[in-house]
Amino acid sequence: MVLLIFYAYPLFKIFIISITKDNSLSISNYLRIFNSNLYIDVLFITLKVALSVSILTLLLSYPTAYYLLKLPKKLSNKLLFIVLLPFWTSILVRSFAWLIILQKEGIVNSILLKTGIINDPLELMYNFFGVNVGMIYVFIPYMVLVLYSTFRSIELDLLIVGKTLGANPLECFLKIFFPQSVKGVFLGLVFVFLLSMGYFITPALLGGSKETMIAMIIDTQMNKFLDWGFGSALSFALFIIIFVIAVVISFFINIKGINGRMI
Amino acid sequence: MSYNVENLFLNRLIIFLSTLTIVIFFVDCSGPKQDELVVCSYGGSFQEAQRKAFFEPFEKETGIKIIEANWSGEYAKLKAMVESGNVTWDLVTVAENSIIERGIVDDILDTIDFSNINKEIFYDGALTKYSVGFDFFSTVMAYNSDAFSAENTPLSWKDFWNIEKFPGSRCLRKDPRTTLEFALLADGVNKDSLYPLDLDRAFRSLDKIKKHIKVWWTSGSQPAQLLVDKEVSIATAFNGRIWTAATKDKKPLKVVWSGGALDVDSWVIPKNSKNYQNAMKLIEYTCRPEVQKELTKYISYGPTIISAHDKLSPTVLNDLPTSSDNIKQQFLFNAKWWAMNEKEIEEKWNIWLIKD
Repeated sequence: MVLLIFYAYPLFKIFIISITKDNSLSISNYLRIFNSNLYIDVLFITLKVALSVSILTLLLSYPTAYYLLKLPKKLSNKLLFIVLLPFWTSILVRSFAWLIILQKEGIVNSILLKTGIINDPLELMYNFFGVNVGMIYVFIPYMVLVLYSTFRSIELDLLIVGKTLGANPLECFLKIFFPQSVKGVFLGLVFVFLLSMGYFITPALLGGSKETMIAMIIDTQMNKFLDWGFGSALSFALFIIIFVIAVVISFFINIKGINGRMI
Repeated sequence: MSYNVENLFLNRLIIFLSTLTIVIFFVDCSGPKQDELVVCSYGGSFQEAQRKAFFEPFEKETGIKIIEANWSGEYAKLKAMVESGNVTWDLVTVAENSIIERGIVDDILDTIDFSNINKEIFYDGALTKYSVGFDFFSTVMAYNSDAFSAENTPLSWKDFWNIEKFPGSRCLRKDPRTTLEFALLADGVNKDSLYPLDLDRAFRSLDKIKKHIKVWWTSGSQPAQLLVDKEVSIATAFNGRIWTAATKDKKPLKVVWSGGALDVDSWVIPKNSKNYQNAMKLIEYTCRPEVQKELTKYISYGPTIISAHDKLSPTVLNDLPTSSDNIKQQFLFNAKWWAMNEKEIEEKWNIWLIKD
């Protein structure tokens, strides 16, 4: 019921706004998306960023969550708390912090220059790389949480069983642990992917001219031009894309024979 | 025992919250007061300057209490406020003239009563039927003087585009407004014949510099910081920001007035505001030369009244966009033209930005 009022109704309303123009039914807002290459291009850029961010976040978070699992419970709780610390800071502040680290005369470049590893400062921000770094940093806590909670439900005794049956640690991990964690991996990927599709503060601050996300365009249409019709059409198109992706992935999880309950 | 304590706490919380609700209810229903005025501005050092130069002395002189609010120029907010019929702001500072133009079209602004205001003493472009400008600011070229030798400093937009003579990365605003004008000036267009903008020519000119634009700034605080950090050597910026960095923080930043885009900060009165009379009183107060002169002490935005520049010290004048030496080098940003064309340009701009 709550979901219906606070989620379905606004969504329905957005859809209605998007298909009306001057009080009559019209799909012109949707046609406009395809009128110029801009919106399709920006959607692809958004997909590209979301994909690379979610995969890289996974690669960094998996070992972290695995390590947390292996630690004694008391210690792992403390470490988990540290992982979650960034949650208490505003995203804007965190993005600005990266400016200090990544800029031309920032910490990374000055260390590399002074130790003679590089001769010219690296371009670490105002490009695709900078956007990735900033966004991965924001999403790691989410991913670690999702993975860690899945890992906790894995029967660790099975690993001992495997060991006694003569498997080496790598085999134990690949054949026993990893297959059981696939569900968490998918959940985490989907979670971060969907969040980053609608993201825009960090790309705006750490990106260059090419890192334009669809959320930025929606923001300008809504707030600057008060073109709620077109803004809503873009939002709804984004919603459909995300929905399709989520459905496809949940289908995937089901096929794999894993309990496919979605978030 | 612990249960009781919790209960007591809950009871108190409930009593507190219900009292608060009742208080808020009454405050909200109290309606307009004769001796009050709600003024909305942009916050930060700008609103602080307004407070010291305008609000505080005005309160002393008239006994009208000023209640401050702030916004960041979200036109949607203003429009929704007027259309919902609950207009809580009596007087609003508007830093983008396109807001005035759109406000006129949407019929959400009240006309200004000019019966006590002498229009003759203002610079051109400061007044409309619906707004009174109280200062000019400028979007200008700025550079870090450490980046260039004293005899070889950038003087015009042509120099901004000249990477050989003035090496280093550049920084432009991620917004077509003023940026297209600068591109045309760099391409040799005369500043008096900019409008209507030749869009194709502007984008061709921007093509030449695109790969040297390292940062596209989105927030007004960025350019000064980027220049100080030597991330870029020349940037576009709001003159007030550079002034603050150079004067207050003693950073080696310089402003180039040539080809700057003058724009005006104005007062507007939303339609159906509850305190039109008091709002007009504050507007009239800020139309005195000596009051506008006061503002220059706190921020380097130039008076809209010509005689307010009399007897200002040369160091102050040098930093004002409106001093007689500086104003003639700049052009007046044409908000009306932009209000009519902006939507179409925004799409072209975005296409241009993401292409290789």
